[in-house]
Amino acid sequence: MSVFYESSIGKIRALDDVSLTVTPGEFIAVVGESGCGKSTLALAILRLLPPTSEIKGHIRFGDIDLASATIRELAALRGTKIGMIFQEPLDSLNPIEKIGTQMAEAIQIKWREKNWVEKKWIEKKPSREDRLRNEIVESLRDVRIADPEKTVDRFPFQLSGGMAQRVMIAMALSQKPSILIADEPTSALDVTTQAQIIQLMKEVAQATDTAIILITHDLGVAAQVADRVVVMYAGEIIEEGTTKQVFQNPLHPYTKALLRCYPNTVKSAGHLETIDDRFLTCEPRSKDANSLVDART
Amino acid sequence: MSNALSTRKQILIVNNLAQNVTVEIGGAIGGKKTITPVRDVSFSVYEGETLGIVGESGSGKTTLLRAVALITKPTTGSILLEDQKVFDGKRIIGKMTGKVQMVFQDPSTSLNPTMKVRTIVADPLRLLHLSKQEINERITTSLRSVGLEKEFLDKYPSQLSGGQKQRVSIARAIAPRPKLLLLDEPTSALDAAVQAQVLNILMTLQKEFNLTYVFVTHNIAIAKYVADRIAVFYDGRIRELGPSETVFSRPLHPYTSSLIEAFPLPDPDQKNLLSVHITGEPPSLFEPITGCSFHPRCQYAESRCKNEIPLLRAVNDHMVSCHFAESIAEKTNHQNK
Repeated sequence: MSVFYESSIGKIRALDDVSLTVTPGEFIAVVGESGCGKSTLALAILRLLPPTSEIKGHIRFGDIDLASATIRELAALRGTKIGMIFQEPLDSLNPIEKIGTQMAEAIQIKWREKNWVEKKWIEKKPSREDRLRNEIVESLRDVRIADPEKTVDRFPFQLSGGMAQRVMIAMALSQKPSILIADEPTSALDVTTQAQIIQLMKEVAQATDTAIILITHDLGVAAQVADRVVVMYAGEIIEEGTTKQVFQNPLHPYTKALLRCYPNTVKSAGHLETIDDRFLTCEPRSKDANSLVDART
Repeated sequence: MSNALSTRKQILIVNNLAQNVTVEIGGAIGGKKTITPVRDVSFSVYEGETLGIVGESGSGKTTLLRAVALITKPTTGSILLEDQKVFDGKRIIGKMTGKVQMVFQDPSTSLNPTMKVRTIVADPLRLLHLSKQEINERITTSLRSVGLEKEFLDKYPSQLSGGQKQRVSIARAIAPRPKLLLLDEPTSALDAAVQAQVLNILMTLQKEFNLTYVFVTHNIAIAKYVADRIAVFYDGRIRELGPSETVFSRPLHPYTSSLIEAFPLPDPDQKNLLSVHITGEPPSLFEPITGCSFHPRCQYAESRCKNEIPLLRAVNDHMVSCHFAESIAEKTNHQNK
C-alpha cells in the first residue's frame, strides 16, 4: 500500500507538496511543532478536512485514490480499513451513550461485512445480544481494561482519560484496519498512562499487522516506538528516515535545532538551544523560509 | 541535605499543610462533597534555590501552590515566609504583597484580554504605593529583562504569540521585585523551542534578581534541568524529596522509579517506554485509598502498605515515604558498588 500525497489547501498552503509512503505493519511517527501541518496531514488522509479546503494530488490506498474518492467509497473505508484515534478520547466518544452501545456499533459493521449469519447456528444459538456483549467484553479485555463486564455499562464520563483512550483503541482496532492514524493519542494523558497506551498500541498493531501513523509533538515518544520518523515544518516534510538516522544523525538544521531544545539532552546548567522566533510561526510563508532555516545555524 | 544548603536561609517554611476543597456534584441528587487534594505536606525552600515539584495531573501540585500563595485558605498547617507567620492554621495573618508572585500555566487565560501589556505588568504594582515615574520604570525594566522591547507596551494579549504572552506574565510577576516566584507549569502549553526560550529567561532572571523558585511541572526532564531539589508528589503527598541529581539517578520511592521509567527519552538506543512495569492509573480523590495510596500500583506492595501510611523520613540524603525505602536504598547502594 502506498500513500502519495500532494496538496495545497484553500488559499493558505497548509501542506506543501508532501509525499509519504506507508508499508503494511510499519510504525511511522510524524513529528513537528504546533501549526506545522501534522494534523492536517492526518485529516487529509481521512478526507475529514472542512469543506472550505481543497486537496490537490493523490492519496493512494490500495487501488483507491482517497483524494478523489466519492463519499460512499470513503464511508466504506473510514473506520473499517482506516482506523483513527484522536487526542481527546472523551470528546471522541458520544457522552450520552453507554460504552457497550458505542462499541456494538463498531462490531456490528464488521458482522454485516463478514456475513456472520452462518455462525448464528453454531452450538446453542446464543442470542445476538449475548454474542455481541461477549465480543465487546473480549475486545475490552484485549486492551487491558481492568473490569470489562462493568465498563460495558458505563458512560464515557465515568471513565478516566486512559480508560477512554483504551476504549477508542479497542473500537478502532476491532475492525482490523490495515492502517491506524493516531493524532496525538497520548498528549492529554499522564506519563505513566501514556507509557501503557503506547505499549498497547504497539502490541495490538503488531499482532494484527496494522500500520500506524502516529502524529505527535513529543520527540521522545517518536524515538521510543517508531520505525520511521517524518519531521514536518511549515507544511513540508523536511526530513524523513529511520528513527536511528533521524535522532542520531539528523541532517536538516531544523531537526538538529529541535533535538537540541530538549532539556534532557543537555546537562544541567548552561543555556538551552532555542530557535529564533521567526522560525516558530508556521504561517504561510514565502519560499525563502528554507534559506532562513539555513541562516540560523 | 548538603551542609551548604542547610546553612542557607529558609525563605519559605510549610508545615503539615492540608487543603480541603468542596465540590458540587451534579445530577438529580446532587449535593456537596469535600475532598482533600493536599494532605499533610511539609517542606521548606532555601533562598536562591529552585524547588521542583513533580507529579501527574490530579496529584494536587497546583492546589498546593495555590494554598501556599494563599489564593485559597489552607485547611490546616502553617506557612512561614521569611520567618514571619503568614498562616497559623486558622487565619491568614501576614501579608505577602509583592514578596510572592505566581506564573500560571496557560498564558492565554491568565492575561486579561482587554488590557494592554503596559497595564497588565503595572497591575501588581498598584498596591506598592509607587510614584508614576517609578511604575513606568519598573514596567520597562521588567519587560526588557524578559526580552520584550518598548514596542510591546501598547499591544493586547491577542496580538502576541504564546511564548510572548508567557514572557509578559513573567514580566508581570517580577515587576514588584518579589523574593519568591511560584511557577505552575509555566512551559507546558508551549512548543519545545519556545519552551527552551522561556526556561532560559527564567534561569537568567533567577541569577539577576536572586529569585527563589518553586517550579511545578509534570515533565521530569524539565524538573531535572531547572531544579536544585525535587519533591515528587503523588495523590496529595510528598513521596520523595532530595537533590535533583540523586532523586533521578538513585530514586528511593517506587513511584519515582516508575515516573523515570515512563518518561520517553528522545533516544532510540535507550528504549524504556515499551518495558514499563507500572499498571493502573492515579487514584480518584473521591475514592480514598487506605494506607499508602500508591500500593495498588506498586510492585513492592505488601499487606502493611494497605493499612499503614508511611511516614516521610530521611533515608540516605533523601526524604522518602515508603515502608521499604531502607531496603530499596540498600539494594541500589549494593548495585552501585
